[in-house]
Amino acid sequence: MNKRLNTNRGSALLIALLLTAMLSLIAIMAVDTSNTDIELAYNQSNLESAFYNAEAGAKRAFVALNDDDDWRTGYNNTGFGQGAFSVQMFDSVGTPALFDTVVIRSQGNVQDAQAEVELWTVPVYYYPFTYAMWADAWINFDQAGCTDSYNSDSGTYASTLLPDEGDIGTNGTITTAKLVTIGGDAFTATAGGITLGAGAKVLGDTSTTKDSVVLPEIPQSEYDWARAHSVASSGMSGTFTYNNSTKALTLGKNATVTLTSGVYYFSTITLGQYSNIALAPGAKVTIYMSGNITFGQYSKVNTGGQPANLQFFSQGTSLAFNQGCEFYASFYGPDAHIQYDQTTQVYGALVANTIKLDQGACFHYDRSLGKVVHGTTGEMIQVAWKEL
Amino acid sequence: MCARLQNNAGYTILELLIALLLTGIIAASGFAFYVSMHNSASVQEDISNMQHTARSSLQEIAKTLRMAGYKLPTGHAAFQVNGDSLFVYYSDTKPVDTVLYYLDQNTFLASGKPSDWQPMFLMKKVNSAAPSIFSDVVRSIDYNIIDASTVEVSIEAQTIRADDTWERDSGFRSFTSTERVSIRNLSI
Repeated sequence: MNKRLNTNRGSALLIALLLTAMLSLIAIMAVDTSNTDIELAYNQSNLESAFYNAEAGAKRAFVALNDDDDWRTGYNNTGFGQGAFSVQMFDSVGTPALFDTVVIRSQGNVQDAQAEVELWTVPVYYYPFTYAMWADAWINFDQAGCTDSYNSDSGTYASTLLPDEGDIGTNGTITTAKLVTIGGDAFTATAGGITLGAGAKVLGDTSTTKDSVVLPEIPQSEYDWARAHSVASSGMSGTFTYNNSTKALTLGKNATVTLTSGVYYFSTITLGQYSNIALAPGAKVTIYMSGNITFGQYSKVNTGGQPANLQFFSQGTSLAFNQGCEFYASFYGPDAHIQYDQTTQVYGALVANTIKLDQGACFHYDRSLGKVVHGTTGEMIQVAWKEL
Repeated sequence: MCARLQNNAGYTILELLIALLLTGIIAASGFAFYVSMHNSASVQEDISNMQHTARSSLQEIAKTLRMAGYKLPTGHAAFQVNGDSLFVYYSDTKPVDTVLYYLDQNTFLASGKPSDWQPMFLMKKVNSAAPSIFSDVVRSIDYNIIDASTVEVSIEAQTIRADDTWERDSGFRSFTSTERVSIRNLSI
């Protein structure tokens, strides 16, 4: 037999090894348990981080969308913090029921943890006629001019007249000669920008510390569309001269043109004395202008009709009313100077660069135009948020 | 035959007794060490379970509360606090979905515990479905309304076994986790 087995030498080593193995086993089990706890805590922490990554992705996409409301690119696995986010954009192109809503869906990842949030955004609509008169640079009243307001949705001018409504505002100055009455508030964004003549009064509040407003330009694409789809002259009847190549509309003395519903595009409109632009019964007309408008003495535009049914959008630099005109419409021309000759009566709302009302000219704001929407401001706002 | 096996000489009784005594002492101390380690591991497991319960319950409530008010009809409240009950309203599967969190007596774990140190179930009830147990060792929940769109939620969880080494609260440890939840749909 092997001589080595005949001695007890080395048993201490065996016992020590056995003990070490048992202790190691216990230690490994203990470490394993605490490892599970640590992993649990890490998972929870990663999940929190993934959630905030998803939020970050959604916020970033929201900012990008506000810079450009056509932005639909999204982000693909963009690194952020300890992980990454991916953003997808959904709109009515893929889901018609969304209409103008844009949905931002953002997924955040940190290691194996994943969280997803959804942000619903809608465009901010532009209400161009919340003021009776808005001018970028200045508004000037000659003596005895006035403004008041009515609501053509509810009734006639006489039955809905509110003498102390109809605000006017400008980024620049408001100046009046004597005996002018401004029915609503008068606001400017220029310190000391309101100067009233003797006996002139503002029935509402005055403020010269309003924030400056940048008037949104109507996009050229909209004018191009209007030019391509203009119903001039097929939608027009009466006595008029329309040049299809220059798009100029001219009415001679005492002439009348009647417009049916649709979009019209003109370069210039020139009305002779006592001429008349009328709307067919129930017609809704939008006119886009590349140039100027001149209304001759005592000419009439949509007289007695609802201003909301006739809207002018202009790239021109001038809208001129000679004396005694009647104008029931809204006009939006951020570059235009509006010259309002004496005794002209305008019912509606005006937005321009500068507005000058001559002696005795009165302006009647139609409060129903306050709800008219024209396109969007390009800005998007959040309306709903959820975690998926 | 091996010479050694022919030798009848063995250990004396004294040698055996000493060996037995030494083995006994070593085994006893080893067992005592094991018991103490086991107790300590159990306590650690309870503590870890308590902390995990507090955090995961808070995460669950915060996740639901954050989306309170989602697409609700105009004028409908987004959430409502009534003691330790929280009602969260949003519109996901129905015009108004209601998620209710509340505390219920944990009768299973409560037996044999001092009446003021009995763990509670955190219950979750979605619409008219039967309530489900979300976690089982919650002691209390506190909802502190900071402003119209911010709620501070505190969840206190406790250990399920009394721990001799913990001198306060009858040996039951507790752990509170707090988060200030910004309700997204109310702040946009």
